[in-house]
Amino acid sequence: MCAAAAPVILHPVLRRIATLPLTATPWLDLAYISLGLASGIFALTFVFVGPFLSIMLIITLIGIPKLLLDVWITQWWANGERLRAGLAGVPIPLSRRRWRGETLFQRVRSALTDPMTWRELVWLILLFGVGTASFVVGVTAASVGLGFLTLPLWAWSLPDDGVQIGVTTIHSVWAMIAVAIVLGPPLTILAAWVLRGSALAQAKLAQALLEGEEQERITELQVSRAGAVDAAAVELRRIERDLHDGAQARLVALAMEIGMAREQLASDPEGAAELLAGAHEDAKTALVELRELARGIHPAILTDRGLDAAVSALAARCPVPCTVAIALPRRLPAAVESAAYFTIAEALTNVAKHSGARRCAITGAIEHDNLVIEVTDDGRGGVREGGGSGIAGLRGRVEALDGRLLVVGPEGAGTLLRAELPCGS
Amino acid sequence: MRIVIAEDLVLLRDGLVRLLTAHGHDVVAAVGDGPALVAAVVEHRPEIAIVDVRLPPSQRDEGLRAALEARQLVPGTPVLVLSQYVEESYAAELLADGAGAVGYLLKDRVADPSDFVDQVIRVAEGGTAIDQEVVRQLLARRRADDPLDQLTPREREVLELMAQGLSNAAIAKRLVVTDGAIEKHVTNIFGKLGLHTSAGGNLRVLAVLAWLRVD
Repeated sequence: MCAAAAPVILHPVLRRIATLPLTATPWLDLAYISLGLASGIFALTFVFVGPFLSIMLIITLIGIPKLLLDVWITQWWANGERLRAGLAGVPIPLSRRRWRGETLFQRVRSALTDPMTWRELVWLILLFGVGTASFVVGVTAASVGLGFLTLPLWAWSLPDDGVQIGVTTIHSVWAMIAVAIVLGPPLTILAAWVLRGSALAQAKLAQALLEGEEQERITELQVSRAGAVDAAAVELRRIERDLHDGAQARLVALAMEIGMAREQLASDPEGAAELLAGAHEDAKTALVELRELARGIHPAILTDRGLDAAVSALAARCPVPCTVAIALPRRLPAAVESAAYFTIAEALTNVAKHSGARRCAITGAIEHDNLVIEVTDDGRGGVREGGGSGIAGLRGRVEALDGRLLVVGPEGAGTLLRAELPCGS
Repeated sequence: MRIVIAEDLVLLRDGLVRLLTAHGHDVVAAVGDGPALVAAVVEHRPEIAIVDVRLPPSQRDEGLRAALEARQLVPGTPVLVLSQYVEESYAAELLADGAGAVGYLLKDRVADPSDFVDQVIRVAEGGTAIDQEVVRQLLARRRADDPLDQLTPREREVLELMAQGLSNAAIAKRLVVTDGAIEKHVTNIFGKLGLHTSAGGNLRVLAVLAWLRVD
């Protein structure tokens, strides 16, 4: 059994080793290390005229925007490097990081505190050395292998007629053909594997530095999900409070009044009628409160008629006159509609409560697969995220959907709230 | 009877005042938070304090905390705690000092004003009033080989009413049977559950609740 099975197992392995030069792999490896050499030379140049220069220029303030540009180029270049690693058979997922922040400085800070930025930069610096080393090793090996294989074809061009192999020198064409046949194939196979090794070493190093993106993405998702869970928990608590203090309490009072009325019905019909009138009022108020609460949880009109209608209904209830211009070619995913609705609702609450505005405008449109909504007012501005304005909560809601929230409100010059929500297609 | 009320929702506070006044009681103070309750109990020495579990500023179990504090400052003050939800652990905390004169009821119970006032009076007179929902929760989470399974349906009913704090006479009235019949049921129940207490009133309630809570 074993004796019969052994050659079957060994044979494909040997065949794989022997046939490597006949596959596309050596050519891809060669392309990989050649591009690596070129990329390395330009990368080193970039690092000096890019980030290093920016840091020198930071004192003149031009350095800051330039730094952001450098970081973009670094990411872009690193993505090129990730693609290049695919040639060596080491696929690295591309990075699509975005640095958030309302001001330029915040975005630069967010980019510079991103560990991947630094890892990419390290790779671009290392690439020159690493690229040169693997190019030299790989190309030398390839030349020796191919050189022996094709010895008879180029030996004539040597000045001294005779080729030195080890300690002997051969002159005859037939001897050269014999050497090419005997030494050529094994050396070519060896060369292909050395090439493979040098390309793989470089690509693995690139992977070690440039991957991990997945993990960072997961961390980012966990953070935004935790934000969403927090927002949901706060929301549930609010709903419970509203129920406890509102409808529930009113129903208890209602039941009590009806109970007292029943007991008084025989002895004091007039008092009973008065209690019933109070109970009647309480019942109607409880209905209103429940309706408002249900709308706060999820407005039925949003499900039935979409964002435009729901926002128009919101605007109609807002004490500040609002114009609504929402143009959407189709219904959007429920989560996006809901986030947009509550963002606008919160913005309008702020407009009504804090802004002192006389006019407010709401727009909504699709731009590059993002739903972009904007709420602008002509009020006193000066919005602060922390000051109980609910903006932090909104940010959590928007970022949970991978969106962006921007609030611009210079003192005395109105407020612009802009949310971009990816809505797929 | 002189009563102090602590309830933060004005609607319910006014309702309680009206209800108790209509039944001929005297609400000497109606307050809206925990510290005010403690102060009112110390000042007025009421015959009973009726307290909402959830009070500002914490909106958690501030009312219960304040009631327990007031009972330490003025020992023996009867306390009836009202709650929107049934939480057996709140009842357990109230009963912990074993002094009796405590009640724990759902707010819903005010819908039957006469019954509610009866329970207020029972607690004020040193008895116990535990909401039937609490007792039901205790009875619901039982083990497989449960001594309770040996009880007849009628005995189970009597046990529930005992746990709520009703006296034999009150149970007899509720179930429309004679006092003697109830006494016989009670003896059987105690025998089957292995409870050896001949004590009446508050101690009996505590024994039954303790038996239900343990194991």
